[in-house]
Amino acid sequence: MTVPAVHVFEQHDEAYHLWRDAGVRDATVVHVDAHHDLSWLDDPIHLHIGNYLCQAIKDGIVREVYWVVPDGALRAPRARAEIRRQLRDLGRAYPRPRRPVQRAGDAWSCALRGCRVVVCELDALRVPAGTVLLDVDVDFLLTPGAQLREGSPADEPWLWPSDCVARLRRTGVAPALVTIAYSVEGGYTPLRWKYFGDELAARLLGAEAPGFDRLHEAHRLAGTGAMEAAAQACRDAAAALQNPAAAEFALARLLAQRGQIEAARAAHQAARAHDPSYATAYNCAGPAALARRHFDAAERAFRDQLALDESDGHARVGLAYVAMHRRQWSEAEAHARASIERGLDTPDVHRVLARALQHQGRIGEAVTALQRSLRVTLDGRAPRCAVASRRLSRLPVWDAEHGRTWAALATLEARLGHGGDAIAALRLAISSGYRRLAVHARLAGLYACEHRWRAALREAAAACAAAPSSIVRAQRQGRAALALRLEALRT
Amino acid sequence: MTVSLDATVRIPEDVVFRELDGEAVLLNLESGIYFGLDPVGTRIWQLVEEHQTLRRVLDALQAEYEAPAADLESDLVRFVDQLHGKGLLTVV
Repeated sequence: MTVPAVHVFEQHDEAYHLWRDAGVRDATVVHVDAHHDLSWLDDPIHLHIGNYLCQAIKDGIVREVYWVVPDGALRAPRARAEIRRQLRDLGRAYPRPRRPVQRAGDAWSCALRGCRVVVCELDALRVPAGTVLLDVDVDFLLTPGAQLREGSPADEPWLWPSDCVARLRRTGVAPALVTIAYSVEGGYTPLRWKYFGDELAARLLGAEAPGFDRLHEAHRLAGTGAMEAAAQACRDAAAALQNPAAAEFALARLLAQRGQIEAARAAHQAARAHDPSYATAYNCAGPAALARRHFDAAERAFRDQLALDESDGHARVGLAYVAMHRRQWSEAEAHARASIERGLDTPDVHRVLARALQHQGRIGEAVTALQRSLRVTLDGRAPRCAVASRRLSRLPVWDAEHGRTWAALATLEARLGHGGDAIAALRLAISSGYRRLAVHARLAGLYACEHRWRAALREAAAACAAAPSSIVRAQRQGRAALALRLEALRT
Repeated sequence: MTVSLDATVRIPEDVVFRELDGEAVLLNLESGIYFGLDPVGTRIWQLVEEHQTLRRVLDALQAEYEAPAADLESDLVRFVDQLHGKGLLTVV
């Protein structure tokens, strides 16, 4: 396999921009990923990591997609049912021409907007001649096939980069261009495995990779309890690698486990200094534990992270979230304020603070915090854990909670008797896409309080119109869950 | 189109004004255009809401700000022109 160019980047939609700028047309994409990234999008402004392949199809860059799923995904009943469901959902979302999902040997296929989509495992990959783009997501190596439905990465890789490259070579794929996404932001690839992206690139280019080999050796040694030897292997890897951050990050974790906290801090700081992307909100297991509502595990992870880096505002916000879920409001407030003092000025931090203040009865301060949250959103800032490319509208708004935040502000302002401000906030919530029955009903009530009867009637009608869609949405979700269970049972 | 001082301006129903964290924003709900206002812009907006005619707005500004009348007038007209161009004000 000869590889002329390899591009490595964080967010997967960067691949689309590279292909477009390179003038690629009618290519076949070999998409090695735990996610299909084919979601339909109406407007290119909404391009993000989950739908960039759709835009590539629409632009004529891509005419065929081979989605290579982790081993076992097409054999494990739950994962296979999930893949079929995803393909069917895509078929419903895309305009015609489309073809239903079909099974052909050890692969599944369908057609979306005239583009053939084949789902297969790595060893079943048979790519036709023509322009081929190899498009790899590091999360592929970390998401076992059986876990595809959950979409969460495992602690350990199911496939190492060297094995992945060897198996890709055996398929005979000859890509014109290779794109590799780290996908740390969003929690798809744990930070400790981010270096797999660089390793894949090096191995695809046929380069020697002694630094990466040594890092794997460190991992193996740590697994056998040979911690001193593992630490030395990390130091060797750091000396050998062009970017030593991964080795220093691994060393910091090892030293912290051994209780050598000062040395661990120094190694962690060196990692951040060599590669600032290691100062991400996804620098520990806390966000993943929080998402699974494992609050004790999340708290441990965030406190361990603070032991390594006392100035880490992300870990403080994590603790604020943990305290909030435990309804420890003063503690949540203290952690949120500490993170703001450490320079975090993002919509979600101010929202946590607002919620903590509201539950302590400090409504005026909560209003100020929510206003700050909205202000920084309008300044173009995203929440800490948002994937930065997920733009929600033509406005520079990257915060999926923007509309809900306006509605929360309206509730508090109404409690303070500021009816005019509450009305404006509810109208902004609706215009931001937060069109819930309760929002229209509250707006109708506020208009009625101001004797604006026509506006009140209009909003009451909108509330009634929103009601059936809420019910339909709930019904649809219930039907989808039931269908998935039946499919899993049948297969 | 340049707005004259004799013009009367109206705020469309679809335009919402909000003060947030010490700064003000205007949003046209129909087009989705956000517009941030500095303190002077915020004051002008409040005066437009109150007086509607630009000449009265200018009189109020002259009473509040120690600036040459010609500068205030050109700033006001330019500001209203901008808002009109973005659909945030209608000029009658």
